Amino acid sequence: MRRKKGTLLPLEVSILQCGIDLAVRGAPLFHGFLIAKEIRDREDAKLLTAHGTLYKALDRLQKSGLLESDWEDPLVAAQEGRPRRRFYHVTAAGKAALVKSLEAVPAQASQRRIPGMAAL
Amino acid sequence: MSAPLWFATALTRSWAATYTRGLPAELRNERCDEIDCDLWEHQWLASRRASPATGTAIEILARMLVGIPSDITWRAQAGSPSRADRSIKMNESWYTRVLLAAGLAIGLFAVVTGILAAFDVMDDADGSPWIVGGTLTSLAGAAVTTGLLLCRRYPLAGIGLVLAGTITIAVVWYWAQVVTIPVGLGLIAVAILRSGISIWPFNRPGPSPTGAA
Repeated sequence: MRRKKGTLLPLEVSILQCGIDLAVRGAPLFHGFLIAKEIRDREDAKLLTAHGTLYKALDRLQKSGLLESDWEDPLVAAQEGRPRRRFYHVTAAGKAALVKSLEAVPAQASQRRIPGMAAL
Repeated sequence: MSAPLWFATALTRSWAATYTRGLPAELRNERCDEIDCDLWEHQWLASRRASPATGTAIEILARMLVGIPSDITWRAQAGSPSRADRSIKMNESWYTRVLLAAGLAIGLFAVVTGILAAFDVMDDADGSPWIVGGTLTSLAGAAVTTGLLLCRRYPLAGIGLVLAGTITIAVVWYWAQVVTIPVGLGLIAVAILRSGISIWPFNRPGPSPTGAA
Protein backbone atom coordinates (compact mmCIF):
# COMPACT_ATOMS: atom_id res chain seq x y z
CA MET A 1 0.00 0.00 0.00
CA ARG A 2 1.37 3.39 -0.95
CA ARG A 3 1.64 5.84 1.90
CA LYS A 4 0.38 9.40 1.70
CA LYS A 5 2.88 11.77 3.21
CA GLY A 6 2.35 12.25 6.94
CA THR A 7 -0.18 9.45 7.28
CA LEU A 8 0.05 6.06 8.90
CA LEU A 9 -0.77 2.75 7.28
CA PRO A 10 -3.50 0.69 8.97
CA LEU A 11 -0.95 -1.76 10.38
CA GLU A 12 1.12 1.10 11.79
CA VAL A 13 -1.99 2.52 13.46
CA SER A 14 -2.72 -0.91 14.95
CA ILE A 15 0.83 -1.26 16.25
CA LEU A 16 0.78 2.15 17.90
CA GLN A 17 -2.69 1.58 19.35
CA CYS A 18 -1.76 -1.79 20.78
CA GLY A 19 1.54 -0.44 22.11
CA ILE A 20 -0.25 2.37 23.94
CA ASP A 21 -2.91 -0.01 25.18
CA LEU A 22 -0.25 -2.33 26.58
CA ALA A 23 1.43 0.64 28.29
CA VAL A 24 -1.87 1.61 29.92
CA ARG A 25 -2.16 -1.97 31.16
CA GLY A 26 1.27 -1.67 32.76
CA ALA A 27 3.46 -3.16 30.02
CA PRO A 28 5.07 -0.27 28.16
CA LEU A 29 7.62 -2.51 26.45
CA PHE A 30 6.56 -5.00 23.81
CA HIS A 31 8.28 -7.37 21.43
CA GLY A 32 7.26 -8.38 17.93
CA PHE A 33 5.27 -11.50 18.73
CA LEU A 34 3.45 -9.81 21.59
CA ILE A 35 2.27 -6.97 19.40
CA ALA A 36 1.22 -9.42 16.67
CA LYS A 37 -0.86 -11.30 19.25
CA GLU A 38 -2.41 -8.08 20.55
CA ILE A 39 -3.35 -7.01 17.02
CA ARG A 40 -4.91 -10.40 16.30
CA ASP A 41 -6.91 -10.34 19.52
CA ARG A 42 -8.05 -6.75 18.99
CA GLU A 43 -9.07 -7.22 15.38
CA ASP A 44 -10.38 -10.73 15.91
CA ALA A 45 -8.23 -11.87 13.00
CA LYS A 46 -7.58 -15.50 12.11
CA LEU A 47 -3.88 -15.11 11.51
CA LEU A 48 -1.12 -13.33 13.33
CA THR A 49 0.49 -10.58 11.26
CA ALA A 50 3.04 -12.11 8.90
CA HIS A 51 6.68 -11.94 9.96
CA GLY A 52 7.81 -9.83 7.02
CA THR A 53 4.90 -7.42 7.22
CA LEU A 54 5.24 -6.96 10.98
CA TYR A 55 8.98 -6.47 11.25
CA LYS A 56 9.08 -4.22 8.21
CA ALA A 57 6.39 -2.01 9.79
CA LEU A 58 8.24 -1.97 13.14
CA ASP A 59 11.44 -1.01 11.33
CA ARG A 60 9.63 1.77 9.47
CA LEU A 61 8.03 3.15 12.64
CA GLN A 62 11.36 3.11 14.40
CA LYS A 63 13.08 4.94 11.57
CA SER A 64 10.29 7.53 11.67
CA GLY A 65 10.92 8.06 15.40
CA LEU A 66 7.47 6.78 16.37
CA LEU A 67 8.91 3.77 18.16
CA GLU A 68 12.18 3.18 19.98
CA SER A 69 13.73 -0.18 20.68
CA ASP A 70 16.34 -1.79 22.89
CA TRP A 71 17.68 -5.30 22.91
CA GLU A 72 17.22 -7.27 26.07
CA ASP A 73 20.27 -8.20 28.11
CA PRO A 74 21.36 -11.55 26.61
CA LEU A 75 22.13 -12.87 30.09
CA VAL A 76 18.50 -12.45 31.16
CA ALA A 77 17.32 -14.29 28.07
CA ALA A 78 19.90 -17.03 28.59
CA GLN A 79 18.82 -17.50 32.19
CA GLU A 80 15.25 -17.99 31.02
CA GLY A 81 16.37 -20.32 28.23
CA ARG A 82 15.00 -18.33 25.31
CA PRO A 83 16.29 -16.02 22.56
CA ARG A 84 16.80 -12.37 23.48
CA ARG A 85 13.88 -10.05 22.85
CA ARG A 86 13.87 -6.70 21.14
CA PHE A 87 11.67 -4.44 23.22
CA TYR A 88 9.85 -1.56 21.57
CA HIS A 89 7.99 1.34 23.12
CA VAL A 90 5.86 4.07 21.61
CA THR A 91 7.51 7.49 21.73
CA ALA A 92 5.79 10.82 22.33
CA ALA A 93 6.03 11.44 18.59
CA GLY A 94 4.32 8.08 18.03
CA LYS A 95 1.43 9.03 20.32
CA ALA A 96 1.07 12.38 18.56
CA ALA A 97 1.16 10.73 15.14
CA LEU A 98 -1.54 8.28 16.21
CA VAL A 99 -3.79 11.03 17.52
CA LYS A 100 -3.28 13.01 14.33
CA SER A 101 -3.99 9.95 12.21
CA LEU A 102 -7.19 9.12 14.08
CA GLU A 103 -8.38 12.71 13.97
CA ALA A 104 -7.90 12.70 10.22
CA VAL A 105 -10.40 9.87 9.89
CA PRO A 106 -13.06 10.60 12.54
CA ALA A 107 -15.35 7.74 11.60
CA GLN A 108 -12.60 5.18 11.80
CA ALA A 109 -11.26 6.82 14.93
CA SER A 110 -14.47 6.33 16.79
CA GLN A 111 -14.37 2.65 15.91
CA ARG A 112 -10.76 2.32 16.87
CA ARG A 113 -10.93 4.11 20.21
CA ILE A 114 -9.08 2.20 22.79
CA PRO A 115 -8.81 2.53 26.54
CA GLY A 116 -5.33 3.94 26.28
CA MET A 117 -6.40 6.76 24.03
CA ALA A 118 -7.87 8.66 26.95
CA ALA A 119 -4.40 8.83 28.43
CA LEU A 120 -2.95 10.60 25.39
CA MET B 1 9.33 -30.81 18.88
CA SER B 2 7.02 -32.38 16.31
CA ALA B 3 8.18 -32.84 12.73
CA PRO B 4 5.78 -30.26 11.18
CA LEU B 5 6.81 -27.67 13.77
CA TRP B 6 10.48 -28.41 13.24
CA PHE B 7 10.00 -28.09 9.48
CA ALA B 8 8.08 -24.80 9.76
CA THR B 9 10.62 -23.17 12.08
CA ALA B 10 13.58 -24.44 10.07
CA LEU B 11 12.07 -23.14 6.83
CA THR B 12 11.32 -19.76 8.38
CA ARG B 13 14.85 -19.47 9.76
CA SER B 14 16.31 -20.52 6.42
CA TRP B 15 14.24 -17.94 4.60
CA ALA B 16 15.38 -15.22 7.02
CA ALA B 17 18.98 -16.29 6.51
CA THR B 18 18.46 -16.19 2.74
CA TYR B 19 16.95 -12.75 2.39
CA THR B 20 19.34 -11.15 4.87
CA ARG B 21 22.35 -12.56 3.06
CA GLY B 22 24.81 -9.86 2.02
CA LEU B 23 23.56 -7.30 4.54
CA PRO B 24 25.87 -5.83 7.17
CA ALA B 25 26.36 -8.38 9.97
CA GLU B 26 24.62 -6.28 12.62
CA LEU B 27 21.49 -5.72 10.55
CA ARG B 28 21.41 -9.35 9.50
CA ASN B 29 21.84 -10.68 13.03
CA GLU B 30 19.18 -8.35 14.38
CA ARG B 31 16.57 -9.48 11.87
CA CYS B 32 17.44 -13.16 12.33
CA ASP B 33 17.39 -12.80 16.14
CA GLU B 34 14.01 -11.08 15.97
CA ILE B 35 12.55 -13.86 13.84
CA ASP B 36 14.11 -16.44 16.15
CA CYS B 37 12.53 -14.76 19.17
CA ASP B 38 9.16 -14.58 17.42
CA LEU B 39 9.27 -18.29 16.59
CA TRP B 40 10.19 -19.16 20.17
CA GLU B 41 7.39 -17.03 21.63
CA HIS B 42 4.91 -18.49 19.14
CA GLN B 43 5.80 -22.05 20.10
CA TRP B 44 5.86 -21.22 23.80
CA LEU B 45 2.37 -19.73 23.66
CA ALA B 46 1.10 -22.67 21.61
CA SER B 47 2.48 -25.18 24.10
CA ARG B 48 1.04 -23.20 27.01
CA ARG B 49 -2.38 -23.28 25.36
CA ALA B 50 -1.88 -26.93 24.38
CA SER B 51 -2.55 -26.01 20.74
CA PRO B 52 -1.99 -28.79 18.18
CA ALA B 53 1.54 -28.75 16.80
CA THR B 54 0.35 -29.10 13.21
CA GLY B 55 -1.90 -26.07 13.50
CA THR B 56 0.95 -24.03 14.96
CA ALA B 57 3.26 -25.20 12.18
CA ILE B 58 0.73 -24.16 9.52
CA GLU B 59 0.32 -20.80 11.20
CA ILE B 60 4.09 -20.24 11.27
CA LEU B 61 4.38 -21.25 7.61
CA ALA B 62 1.50 -18.98 6.63
CA ARG B 63 3.09 -16.05 8.49
CA MET B 64 6.34 -16.66 6.67
CA LEU B 65 4.76 -17.07 3.24
CA VAL B 66 2.44 -14.07 3.48
CA GLY B 67 5.37 -11.94 4.61
CA ILE B 68 7.66 -12.87 1.72
CA PRO B 69 6.78 -9.83 -0.45
CA SER B 70 7.47 -7.53 2.52
CA ASP B 71 10.72 -9.34 3.25
CA ILE B 72 11.83 -8.86 -0.33
CA THR B 73 10.98 -5.16 -0.41
CA TRP B 74 12.55 -4.65 3.03
CA ARG B 75 15.68 -6.36 1.75
CA ALA B 76 15.74 -4.16 -1.33
CA GLN B 77 15.46 -1.05 0.83
CA ALA B 78 17.93 -2.26 3.44
CA GLY B 79 20.83 -2.06 1.06
CA SER B 80 22.62 -3.67 -1.79
CA PRO B 81 24.79 -6.66 -1.20
CA SER B 82 28.40 -5.80 -0.79
CA ARG B 83 29.41 -8.36 -3.36
CA ALA B 84 28.30 -8.67 -6.94
CA ASP B 85 25.65 -11.21 -6.04
CA ARG B 86 22.48 -9.24 -6.49
CA SER B 87 19.59 -11.41 -7.52
CA ILE B 88 18.40 -9.03 -10.22
CA LYS B 89 21.49 -7.77 -11.92
CA MET B 90 21.26 -4.64 -13.92
CA ASN B 91 23.41 -6.16 -16.62
CA GLU B 92 20.72 -8.72 -17.38
CA SER B 93 18.96 -8.11 -20.62
CA TRP B 94 15.55 -6.46 -20.47
CA TYR B 95 13.74 -9.58 -21.62
CA THR B 96 15.40 -11.69 -18.93
CA ARG B 97 14.21 -9.18 -16.35
CA VAL B 98 10.69 -9.20 -17.79
CA LEU B 99 10.65 -13.01 -17.74
CA LEU B 100 11.98 -13.00 -14.18
CA ALA B 101 9.31 -10.52 -13.07
CA ALA B 102 6.62 -12.69 -14.69
CA GLY B 103 8.06 -15.80 -13.02
CA LEU B 104 8.14 -14.13 -9.62
CA ALA B 105 4.54 -12.98 -10.10
CA ILE B 106 3.49 -16.56 -10.88
CA GLY B 107 5.36 -17.86 -7.84
CA LEU B 108 3.75 -15.31 -5.54
CA PHE B 109 0.37 -16.03 -7.11
CA ALA B 110 0.81 -19.70 -6.16
CA VAL B 111 1.77 -18.68 -2.61
CA VAL B 112 -1.34 -16.55 -2.17
CA THR B 113 -3.63 -19.06 -3.90
CA GLY B 114 -2.34 -21.84 -1.69
CA ILE B 115 -2.95 -19.86 1.48
CA LEU B 116 -6.43 -18.88 0.38
CA ALA B 117 -7.23 -22.48 -0.54
CA ALA B 118 -5.99 -23.75 2.80
CA PHE B 119 -7.90 -21.22 4.84
CA ASP B 120 -11.14 -21.55 2.87
CA VAL B 121 -11.09 -25.19 3.74
CA MET B 122 -10.34 -24.42 7.35
CA ASP B 123 -13.61 -22.52 7.48
CA ASP B 124 -15.43 -25.64 6.29
CA ALA B 125 -13.60 -27.62 8.93
CA ASP B 126 -14.08 -30.89 7.12
CA GLY B 127 -11.81 -30.73 4.10
CA SER B 128 -8.41 -31.57 5.49
CA PRO B 129 -6.98 -32.57 2.06
CA TRP B 130 -7.11 -28.93 1.02
CA ILE B 131 -5.15 -27.82 4.01
CA VAL B 132 -2.44 -30.09 2.71
CA GLY B 133 -3.00 -29.04 -0.91
CA GLY B 134 -3.03 -25.36 -0.07
CA THR B 135 0.06 -25.60 2.10
CA LEU B 136 1.90 -27.57 -0.57
CA THR B 137 0.90 -25.02 -3.21
CA SER B 138 2.16 -22.15 -1.06
CA LEU B 139 5.42 -23.93 -0.34
CA ALA B 140 5.83 -24.74 -4.02
CA GLY B 141 5.20 -21.11 -4.94
CA ALA B 142 7.77 -20.00 -2.37
CA ALA B 143 10.24 -22.53 -3.78
CA VAL B 144 9.70 -21.21 -7.32
CA THR B 145 10.11 -17.59 -6.18
CA THR B 146 13.22 -18.31 -4.14
CA GLY B 147 14.67 -20.51 -6.87
CA LEU B 148 14.24 -17.83 -9.51
CA LEU B 149 15.97 -15.29 -7.27
CA LEU B 150 18.80 -17.64 -6.34
CA CYS B 151 19.49 -19.25 -9.69
CA ARG B 152 21.87 -16.51 -10.81
CA ARG B 153 24.27 -17.11 -7.96
CA TYR B 154 23.44 -20.71 -7.08
CA PRO B 155 22.40 -22.25 -10.41
CA LEU B 156 21.84 -25.80 -9.25
CA ALA B 157 20.03 -24.89 -6.04
CA GLY B 158 17.92 -22.29 -7.84
CA ILE B 159 16.94 -24.55 -10.73
CA GLY B 160 16.32 -27.39 -8.28
CA LEU B 161 13.93 -25.27 -6.24
CA VAL B 162 12.05 -24.14 -9.35
CA LEU B 163 11.88 -27.73 -10.56
CA ALA B 164 10.61 -29.00 -7.21
CA GLY B 165 8.06 -26.20 -6.99
CA THR B 166 6.67 -26.65 -10.48
CA ILE B 167 6.44 -30.43 -10.14
CA THR B 168 4.64 -30.07 -6.82
CA ILE B 169 2.12 -27.66 -8.28
CA ALA B 170 1.56 -29.91 -11.29
CA VAL B 171 0.88 -32.85 -8.96
CA VAL B 172 -1.31 -31.00 -6.48
CA TRP B 173 -3.32 -29.24 -9.19
CA TYR B 174 -3.37 -32.36 -11.38
CA TRP B 175 -6.66 -31.46 -13.05
CA ALA B 176 -5.11 -28.24 -14.37
CA GLN B 177 -2.04 -29.79 -15.98
CA VAL B 178 -2.92 -28.22 -19.31
CA VAL B 179 -1.90 -24.97 -17.65
CA THR B 180 0.54 -26.01 -14.93
CA ILE B 181 2.87 -28.07 -17.12
CA PRO B 182 3.51 -25.44 -19.83
CA VAL B 183 3.83 -22.69 -17.22
CA GLY B 184 6.14 -24.91 -15.17
CA LEU B 185 8.33 -25.61 -18.18
CA GLY B 186 8.45 -21.87 -18.83
CA LEU B 187 9.55 -21.18 -15.26
CA ILE B 188 12.27 -23.82 -15.47
CA ALA B 189 13.43 -22.26 -18.74
CA VAL B 190 13.63 -18.83 -17.09
CA ALA B 191 15.68 -20.30 -14.23
CA ILE B 192 18.08 -21.96 -16.66
CA LEU B 193 18.31 -18.80 -18.72
CA ARG B 194 19.14 -16.70 -15.64
CA SER B 195 21.63 -19.22 -14.30
CA GLY B 196 23.80 -18.93 -17.40
CA ILE B 197 24.26 -22.70 -17.49
CA SER B 198 24.83 -23.97 -20.99
CA ILE B 199 22.01 -26.38 -21.53
CA TRP B 200 20.52 -26.89 -24.93
CA PRO B 201 18.64 -24.89 -26.25
CA PHE B 202 19.96 -22.12 -23.99
CA ASN B 203 23.63 -22.41 -24.88
CA ARG B 204 24.62 -20.05 -27.61
CA PRO B 205 27.08 -21.68 -29.98
CA GLY B 206 30.24 -19.66 -29.91
CA PRO B 207 33.01 -19.75 -32.42
CA SER B 208 34.84 -23.00 -32.42
CA PRO B 209 38.42 -22.75 -31.11
CA THR B 210 39.61 -24.38 -34.24
CA GLY B 211 37.41 -22.31 -36.47
CA ALA B 212 35.62 -25.42 -37.64
CA ALA B 213 31.82 -25.45 -37.85
